[in-house]
Amino acid sequence: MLSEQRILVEVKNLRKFFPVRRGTFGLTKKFVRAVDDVSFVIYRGETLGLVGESGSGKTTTGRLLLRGYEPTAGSVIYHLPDAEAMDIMTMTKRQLWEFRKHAQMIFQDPYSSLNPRMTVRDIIAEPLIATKSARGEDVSQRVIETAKRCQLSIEHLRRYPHAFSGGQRQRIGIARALVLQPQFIVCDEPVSALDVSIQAQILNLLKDLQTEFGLTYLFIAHDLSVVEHICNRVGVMYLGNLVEMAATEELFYHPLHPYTEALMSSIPEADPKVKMQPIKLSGEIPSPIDPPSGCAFHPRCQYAQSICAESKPEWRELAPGHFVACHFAESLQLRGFVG
Amino acid sequence: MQLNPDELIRISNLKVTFPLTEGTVQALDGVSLTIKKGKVLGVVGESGCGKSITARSILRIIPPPGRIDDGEIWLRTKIGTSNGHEQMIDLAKIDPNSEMMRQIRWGEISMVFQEPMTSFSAYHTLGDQISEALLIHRNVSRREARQRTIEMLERVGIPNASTRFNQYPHEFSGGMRQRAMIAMALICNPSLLIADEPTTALDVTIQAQVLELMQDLRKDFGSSILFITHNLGVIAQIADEVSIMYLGKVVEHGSVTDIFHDPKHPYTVDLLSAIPKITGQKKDRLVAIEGTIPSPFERVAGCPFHPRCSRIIQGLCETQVPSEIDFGNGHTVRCHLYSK
Ligand SMILES: Nc1ncnc2c1ncn2[C@@H]1O[C@H](COP(=O)(O)OP(=O)(O)OP(=O)(O)O)[C@@H](O)[C@H]1O
Ligand SMILES: Nc1ncnc2c1ncn2[C@@H]1O[C@H](COP(=O)(O)OP(=O)(O)OP(=O)(O)O)[C@@H](O)[C@H]1O
Ligand code: SF4
Ligand code: SF4
Ligand SMILES: [Mg+2]
Ligand SMILES: [Mg+2]
Repeated sequence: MLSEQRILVEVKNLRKFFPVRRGTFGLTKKFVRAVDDVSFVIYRGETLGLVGESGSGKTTTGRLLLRGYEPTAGSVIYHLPDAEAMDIMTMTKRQLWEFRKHAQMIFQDPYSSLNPRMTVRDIIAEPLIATKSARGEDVSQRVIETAKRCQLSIEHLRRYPHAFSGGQRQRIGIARALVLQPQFIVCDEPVSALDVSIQAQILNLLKDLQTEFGLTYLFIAHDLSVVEHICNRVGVMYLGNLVEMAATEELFYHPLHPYTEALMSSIPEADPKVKMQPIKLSGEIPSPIDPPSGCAFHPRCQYAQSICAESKPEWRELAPGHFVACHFAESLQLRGFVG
Repeated sequence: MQLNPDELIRISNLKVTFPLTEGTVQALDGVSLTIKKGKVLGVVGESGCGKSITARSILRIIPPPGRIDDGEIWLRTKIGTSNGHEQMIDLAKIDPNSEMMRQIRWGEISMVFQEPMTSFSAYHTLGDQISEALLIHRNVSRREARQRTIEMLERVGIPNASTRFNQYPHEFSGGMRQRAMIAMALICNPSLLIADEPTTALDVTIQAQVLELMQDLRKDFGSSILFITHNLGVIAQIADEVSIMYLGKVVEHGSVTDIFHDPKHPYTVDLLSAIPKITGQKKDRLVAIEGTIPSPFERVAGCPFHPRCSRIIQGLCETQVPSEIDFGNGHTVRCHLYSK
């Protein structure tokens, strides 16, 4: 663990509801409760992983942290070094503009996140120019340096994104996020489009940059072996809620939430002789439009009791640094990763 | 060309180029692979090596200006015969816009695309787009198509499927769009399912479900699956055979156990050692393959892997293209280390 834990980001009761459009009959207004009351902190210099169901609100959380969306409620307070603590939800336009130099995002979808009418060079240069961080020759220099670190050749720079494969595009997105040398990066599935040899290069690169510049990452991913490799702590989301958060080893080997247990049992081993034995989650996958009562996981939880449908389990710190939301976290004997 | 009785598709020496103003990209440089009936072929390789273009060649939906320059894609099919007998056709030679190709697409071979956002139209509801395939290829009523679509959406794990039926693609999360795409590919019970990174956007519990769904498809309908992914864990769990691609070529092929327990090609060996392993220990750096992938316009002489290979034989690998060596039981490799 990190010896000196200074908080960089403090997320409090964050909520984001998207209105659902329902054709012409839409009389009652409904909402997707994409992020529904989430609180956590990110320490300076750490990598905090975020895993969970698809559609559980990971990307939305990541975007909210950079104010890519207006929140429905809650606050995101940054404690940047040499600056006053600031809630980005109440920042002025000008402050927000300055803030963007320090915080960047690597997007999940390398296809739609790159402007097809810009060359790769211009895509990478854009944040430098937009924030007036460099001009003239300096722009070219920094673009080339960053591109090289991300395994893009100078040859690539004058092409347009459509002519690149998925993995190549992802590297363009990474270069764009790195070019400003920010302090905090939200990495939304940054390596899922890459083959493992390039994945290893990018993960090493992210680690090197972290050591060199003291970067902090929020790292969203589905591949749990990648998460285990790169993250200091990991949070697990389910249906707009955080259900567990702990130091990586603790979470993998001593999970306290039944959904985390199911995740750990579903990791595919890279060995055809070791067949995976996933815990099957029965029951319908609930919708964030009408989330289940009580514990949102109860319709699929093999340990559910009647109380689980009635009251929402509290988000609490069961052991130092180990947070969980489950009524029976003390008594359940859950299985961690076995490999 | 005669396919062996256990083969559904055989691709041989397929070459595809993209003539661009900046230069010509040799996307496929002589790809050969075989998909057996009722089996799962896993395809692995670095990004840009031509996996998606191989898949798209089978369906003849290579994006322009890409074109097939050479090679064959033999398919065993009942489509186009009147008596229900099978025939072999070379998909590389037929008109991509022909009635035959149109029937094969989605009727016989369907595909889960890597980019779920771009593979759905933004202007139609997901439900309409999925049931369209049934209406065209399976001659069912609109009502039945809707019913079967909703069932399939539920099967791939989309909650409130009858409400979701009427929603548009942007209203779904990345993973949910991917599940909808899988539903669309499975709806006509294809004889070949091409799955291009089908589970990359999914959490592991849903991934496990999708893998099981694909296994069911193969059990219930004898379908074959071409499974493209970077996730070697998934390959180990689902594939029967594996083809390893590098720069537009298949460099190694074998049973899943051969590939994972007796890899021959240096690229395969490097790939396997680059996988992060869950150990609960503090982590060092991962083993990455050094060097860069050449620009797509550059043609690499000799072995395509030589600029990054740690076992390069100087004076040979840079100039001579290695030919295929057979270790028996269908385990083949293209590498000079094994010549003679
Ligand atoms: N712009 C939007 N409009 C309406 N609903 C949205 C929007 N963006 C996301 N949602 C909904 O909010 C929920 C959370 O989506 P989000 O993209 O944050 O999930 P995620 O955890 O990142 O999933 P994945 O792993 O699939 O990327 C989903 O139900 C999604 O359908
Ligand atoms: N529309 C296009 N125009 C020009 N070149 C293209 C196009 N699509 C692909 N290519 C080129 O063809 C080659 C093969 O691309 P392909 O998409 O098959 O790679 P891939 O193996 O699927 O990679 P990934 O794992 O990143 O998806 C790449 O060099 C790519 O640059
Ligand atoms: S609160 Fe109940 S339903 Fe929820 S995870 Fe715990 S045991 Fe399962
Ligand atoms: S042929 Fe030579 S360069 Fe290519 S993989 Fe074998 S040893 Fe390496
Ligand atoms: Mg997401
Ligand atoms: Mg691809």
